[in-house]
Amino acid sequence: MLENVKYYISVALYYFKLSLQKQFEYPAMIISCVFMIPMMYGTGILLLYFMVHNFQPLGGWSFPQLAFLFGIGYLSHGLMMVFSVQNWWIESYVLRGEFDRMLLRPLSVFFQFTVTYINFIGLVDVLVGLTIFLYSCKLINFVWSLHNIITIAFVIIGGVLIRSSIFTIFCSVAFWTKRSESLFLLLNDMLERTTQYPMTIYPYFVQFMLTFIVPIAFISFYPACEILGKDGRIVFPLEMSVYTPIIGIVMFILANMFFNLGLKKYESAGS
Amino acid sequence: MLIEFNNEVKGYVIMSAYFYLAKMKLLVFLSYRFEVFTSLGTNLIVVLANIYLWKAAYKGIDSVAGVKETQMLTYTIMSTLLASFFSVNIEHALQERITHGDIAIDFFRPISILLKYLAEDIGIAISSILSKLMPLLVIMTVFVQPPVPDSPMAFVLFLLSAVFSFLILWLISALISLLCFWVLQLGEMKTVKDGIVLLLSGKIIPLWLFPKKIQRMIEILPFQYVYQTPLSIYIGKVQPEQAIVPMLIQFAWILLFTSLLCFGWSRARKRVLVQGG
Repeated sequence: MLENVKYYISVALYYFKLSLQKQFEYPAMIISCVFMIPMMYGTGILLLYFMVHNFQPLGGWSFPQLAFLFGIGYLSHGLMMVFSVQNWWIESYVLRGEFDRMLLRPLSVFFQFTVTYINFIGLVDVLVGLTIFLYSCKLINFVWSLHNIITIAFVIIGGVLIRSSIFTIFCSVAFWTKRSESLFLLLNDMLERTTQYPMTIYPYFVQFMLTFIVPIAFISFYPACEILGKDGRIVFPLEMSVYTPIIGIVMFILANMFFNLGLKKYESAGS
Repeated sequence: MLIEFNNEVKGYVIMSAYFYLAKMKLLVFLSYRFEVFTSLGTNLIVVLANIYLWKAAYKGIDSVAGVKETQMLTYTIMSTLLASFFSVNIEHALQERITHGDIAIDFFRPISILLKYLAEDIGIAISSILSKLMPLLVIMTVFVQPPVPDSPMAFVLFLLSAVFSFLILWLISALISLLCFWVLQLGEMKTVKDGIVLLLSGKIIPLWLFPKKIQRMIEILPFQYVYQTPLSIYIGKVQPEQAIVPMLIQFAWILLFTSLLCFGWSRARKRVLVQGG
């Protein structure tokens, strides 16, 4: 068992090295992303700032509280970008027959696929997210107690799992349809709009769907409600540091199952 | 018995053939419709989220900077419609031709390369009226509110101004893709441009919400003439008689960018370096 784990880790590390080399071949790409990403998400947070500044707190959320919500959501987005952005490309993996190679190796394909790529550009997202998060923590006088730190850490890990599982599940549709790439834009926009704004501004049924059908609300909304003491319309008995990671793990297992189900349908379309 | 069996097999084969045909048709259908549906879905999510956001902001407030809630909702809806219409492909197309060296062949062709790309982009824009703009417009009209222009005159001026906007956006993209002749590997200049347009064009945040000082700075740049100008005319934030000034400025930007592009293009011709095989 231990030997097995060691072996898996060594494979993962090797992939890590490979993707590092791959990406630094194109420095221009990295440089332009360093400019673009803060601008894109800066626009999102600026919109909220101007709205609160010129109008009123949104659904009762002041700007620091909105920034806190935005920060938690964005941090898990950033980490997802680093570790599992390849979900977005399942379509081209299928079309180019890239799973052929993975199928030949005596390792779980899902494992190979998961560790196959580390996106260093995603670190820019993480950095931007961290900046917004720490800034908002200062604004809301966040108490850095052990309990709060553990809550935030668990929530973010769970958030990353929920996010990447959603992408895995929906983009695995490509195994059947050979097509899913444009879905990731839709999902990405949906995740952005539902994790960065308080869900109370949306109709109740939207929140209900995003709680019980696709559990996006657990990524940032309920945790932020709990920490800030806001009314989240739906109340849960235990703490979010329990819910988010557990839902994350369940989603991840589901994603794994769905991916494997799709893999059975996989017919190498590439040459 | 044997015949019966054969018939059974035959029936099965024929049925599965129909099934196969149906499946293939479905796949073909999906392969063309999938992008249309997902892009409609994406636009819907973005526009609905913006609408709820603005509704929350306007709750109990009549107007801000002279703009009422219904006007702001119209602004948001029209901004998404315009964005779905403004698809510019020249950077991508030209970069691919240049890095593969195919551009050298293009120079032998008896038509202008730039006009060819402009024509293609206009073609894509028109097809997206059908596939993206109309469905979105219908859904918005039925379920949210019909995005009605402030006056018939405002609508006419909006159309003209939107054409200018398209040209400005296209020229900016063409100028950026021209850089490709010099640096070969453009990286993602396009995404940087998209980021700047997103922030400074009024596509998401109307510029009247920015602090006054920053507004002055943004006015010097061409970006607000891409989204804000036609949209403000449409909702009546800029009345038709005031619209002449921003539209003249739009026109001036078009002239400036066109002459820059012509100048740059004549220089670029000499820079062609065939990289590919």
